[in-house]
Amino acid sequence: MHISEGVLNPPVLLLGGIFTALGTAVGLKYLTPEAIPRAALLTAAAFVASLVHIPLGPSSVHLVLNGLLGLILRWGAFPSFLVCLFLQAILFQFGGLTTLGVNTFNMAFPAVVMAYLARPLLNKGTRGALVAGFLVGSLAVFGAGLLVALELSFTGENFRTAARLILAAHLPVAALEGVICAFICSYLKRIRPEILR
Amino acid sequence: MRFFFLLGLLLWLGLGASSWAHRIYVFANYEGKEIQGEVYFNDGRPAKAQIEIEADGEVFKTETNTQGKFTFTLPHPAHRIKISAYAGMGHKATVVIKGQNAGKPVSKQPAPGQQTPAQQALGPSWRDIFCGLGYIVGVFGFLAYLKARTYGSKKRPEN
Repeated sequence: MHISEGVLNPPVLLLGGIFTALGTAVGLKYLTPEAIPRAALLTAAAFVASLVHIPLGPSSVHLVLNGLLGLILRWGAFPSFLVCLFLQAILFQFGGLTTLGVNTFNMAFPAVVMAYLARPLLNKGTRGALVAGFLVGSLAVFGAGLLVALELSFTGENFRTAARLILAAHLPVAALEGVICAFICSYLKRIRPEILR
Repeated sequence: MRFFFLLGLLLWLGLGASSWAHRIYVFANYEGKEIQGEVYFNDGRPAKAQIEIEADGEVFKTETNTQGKFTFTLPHPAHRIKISAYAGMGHKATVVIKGQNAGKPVSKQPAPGQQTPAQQALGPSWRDIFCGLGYIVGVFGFLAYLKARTYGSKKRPEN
């Protein structure tokens, strides 16, 4: 889901950049000194996760972890993904510098939205946390896929075709991500519930 | 600690596994009027891609076959050829072949069994991965330093 340089048109790139700048500003305010090590750890996890390919059926998938970052860091997911994607762009040429804004927004925004929507569920004990974790983990991946499809539709690619293709390709990732996120979430709820507040 | 263990486990699982598309590579060869090329994903799998060839301002379109290869014959020799491959879902790669030596082969076709540059690019090296992790620690460490300074001075006002 890393969009490369030269695919999107300038207005989309600019808008992505603006949204990411806003999200990052909010995120930096949101990160208290206590939350920063957590943000660093999760950024490292997201950075490495996209290099780790888990064979699944005929193809293989990699984790995105955006839902997990949204759940734990909330708005902090923006600066986190910004750093992560910047390093992936310059070190591995995944994505690109001009698409950094758009790519960061694609990852972080659905995660933040899902994390806020799942808040009431999170307060309903360990089982609630399990369900919330699954929903946020899987839907944040789908949200990111839909945003990619939407942005590609401005370049002339058919939205429904692109969306179907991307969502189908990410179905296994979403399921896996949901399960992982659910377990981490219920685990945190039991041992460190204050993290999820 | 458990988190690091999980991270390590994921890394280990990922080794040797085939990979998910992150970027594509286009590799092309131009001789006379004929362009031959190949498009790969970063793990070496051939990519089904739409190819746009811009030869001295004229634009031609073609696409790769199932082996990720394409050939195209230009109507006349060109000096600057820009080849863009687009493999869907936001993956695009571009290569420019320029030529005072247009008409002569500009990149050698690899011998049978030899890898193309695209196939050699099998993915990020361990060095790059640890380099990135180091930067992450550094960036967030610096942020923590900045925040802790203001935060600390608010908590403990100067005597």
